[in-house]
Amino acid sequence: MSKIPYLHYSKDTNNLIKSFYLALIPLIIFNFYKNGLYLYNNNLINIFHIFIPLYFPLISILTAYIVSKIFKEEADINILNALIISLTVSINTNYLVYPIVLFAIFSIIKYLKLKIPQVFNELALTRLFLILSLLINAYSYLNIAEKLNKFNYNSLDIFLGYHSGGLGTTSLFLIIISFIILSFNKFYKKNIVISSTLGYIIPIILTIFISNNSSILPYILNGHTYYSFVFLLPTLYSTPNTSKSMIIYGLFVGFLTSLIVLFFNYYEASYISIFIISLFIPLLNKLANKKYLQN
Amino acid sequence: MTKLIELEQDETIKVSSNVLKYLKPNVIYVPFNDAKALVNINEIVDIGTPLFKTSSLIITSPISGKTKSFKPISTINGQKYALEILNDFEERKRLEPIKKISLNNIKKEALEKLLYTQFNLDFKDKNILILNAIDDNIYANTSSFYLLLNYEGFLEILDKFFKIFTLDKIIICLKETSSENINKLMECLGMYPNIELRILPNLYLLGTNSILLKYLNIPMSNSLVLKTNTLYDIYNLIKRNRQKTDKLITISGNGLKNPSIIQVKIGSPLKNLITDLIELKDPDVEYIAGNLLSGKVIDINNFIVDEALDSILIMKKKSPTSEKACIHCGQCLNICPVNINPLLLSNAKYKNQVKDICLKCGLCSYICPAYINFNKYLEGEQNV
Repeated sequence: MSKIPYLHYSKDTNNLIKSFYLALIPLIIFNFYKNGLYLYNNNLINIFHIFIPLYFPLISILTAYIVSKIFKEEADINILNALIISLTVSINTNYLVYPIVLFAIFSIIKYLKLKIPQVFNELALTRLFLILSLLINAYSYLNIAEKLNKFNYNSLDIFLGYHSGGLGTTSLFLIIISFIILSFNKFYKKNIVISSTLGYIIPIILTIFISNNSSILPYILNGHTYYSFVFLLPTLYSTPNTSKSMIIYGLFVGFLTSLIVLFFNYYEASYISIFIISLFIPLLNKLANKKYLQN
Repeated sequence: MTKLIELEQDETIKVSSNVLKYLKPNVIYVPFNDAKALVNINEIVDIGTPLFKTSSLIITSPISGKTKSFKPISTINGQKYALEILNDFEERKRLEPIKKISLNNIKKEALEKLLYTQFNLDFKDKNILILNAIDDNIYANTSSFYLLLNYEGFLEILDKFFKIFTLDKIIICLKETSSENINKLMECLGMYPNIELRILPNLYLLGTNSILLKYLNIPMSNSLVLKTNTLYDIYNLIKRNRQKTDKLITISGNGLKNPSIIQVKIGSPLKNLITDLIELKDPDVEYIAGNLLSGKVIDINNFIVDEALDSILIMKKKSPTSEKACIHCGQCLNICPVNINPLLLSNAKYKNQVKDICLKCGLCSYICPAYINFNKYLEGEQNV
């Protein structure tokens, strides 16, 4: 005789993964348009280069699949992680070096996870290592049109995504749409996203008011930061597990990101802060669980 | 307010309003645990013959017949030893269970004592009485049927209680889906101005007394909640002067053609009852004692209908779902009605601390996107 939960809520982990895929689709399409079709229509690239924006997501999926087979893991979550990361890289990333570096990083992190049970955000760490593949070429997020400074964009264009950034990280508008899509899933950790956004925006706004320096205002519209808050920060396995600790976690990540941005003006600030704060997840869980264990 | 949810349910499963009867089983089993036997094998017994004695109560025979053997049986609360009695169908009554009581002239103290000794109900210092006619099992109507079948008698007895115990209020709680009961009570309540009807949403766990009180925001200290089956037993004893020998159970689910309420002799073998009264849709079914979230899959051979059993669900077999890794979504914590952290159940100290607080309602496992079965951790497995 065994206890069972015969009845189960209609959604599960697979539904959450599907929601992530669904939320990434608009960003992939916009990436193909902005870095491929749009440039081709303006005679800036040839027909072959139209597909480069799709090469990175596809090669990432293939790499994740191979790593999953090697480590005998379920491929679905690794493929999702790879796809999320692929949209953060620059169009200038070296095509050949990228899959090699990605494969190496995935393998090292999988091996580390097997050896060290320490929780950390592996997406953020992977993304930080991927800077290596960008350094092989020029460290730049500008596509050919942006390098030539061919178009004049207004604030609305920037909000819609017509400015420099990672393949899928430029459009704040689409990132907001993605967040809304994900928020419909009960298991998506939107607490973390909202608190990290507040933790990021408030210090920047305060700094603008205190220093009267409006040149830092564009940081508020930095899609790269919000992309990492929406997709990399509330990852499936490396987050705290109570509502309060999720909020604290998000606030710390947002705050650290704003500090790095304000002091070092560093584009990949959010990945650094996600990785650093994720190292404290066990501590946050311990503090959150203290009240349960004391009662 | 307690956070409660409405469970998704198959609207095609409808329990018939005709009550089937299974009151003449060939054999019954009377379970006993740490009780002293008062009869031997091959002894003739009548309805009401004392069979076992524990420190607090005497267990009597629900049928007349001949004792056959002591053998292990299964109940919803696990394996037990039971006395097997062969029915002679003569329905002989050996003893009057209790001196006939008249609620018109009984003293408060005497009634208080009777209810405490017979039903473990403490009316002292209580000024709100709540009748909980809500079933937690989404496919069972046992509690509401006790009320539907006896509502006139129940109202009469509750009204007497109001006067004898000088209560402030009596509340009958029903789910909004219990339309037949609502209609019947609406017709009668005009005659009982002290009894109030509360129609509650179809939320899981309102059938649990402690949760119902929290939901109604009524303090536990001055209120008493009665389930309809307890009031049925009180009603039988006080108004009909009848021993408790039968009960209602719901047999329902998507694996049978005729979901029904059955009035059954306590101690009847479940397999015989199902063979005689139930028509299966599909041979590939599983039997669940209790509700779909926290019930137990049972083997109906050797399983008996005891006092604790309210419902049996016959469900089409589902392909098993394997547990995945926890995604730390925190939903199990959010949904727990008694604020337990299921993720800490691997901690032995914490498990001991919450063992008695946990309602074993199964909501944590219901909501878990990784299909983690937290019940098994509560029962002894180590790692969550």
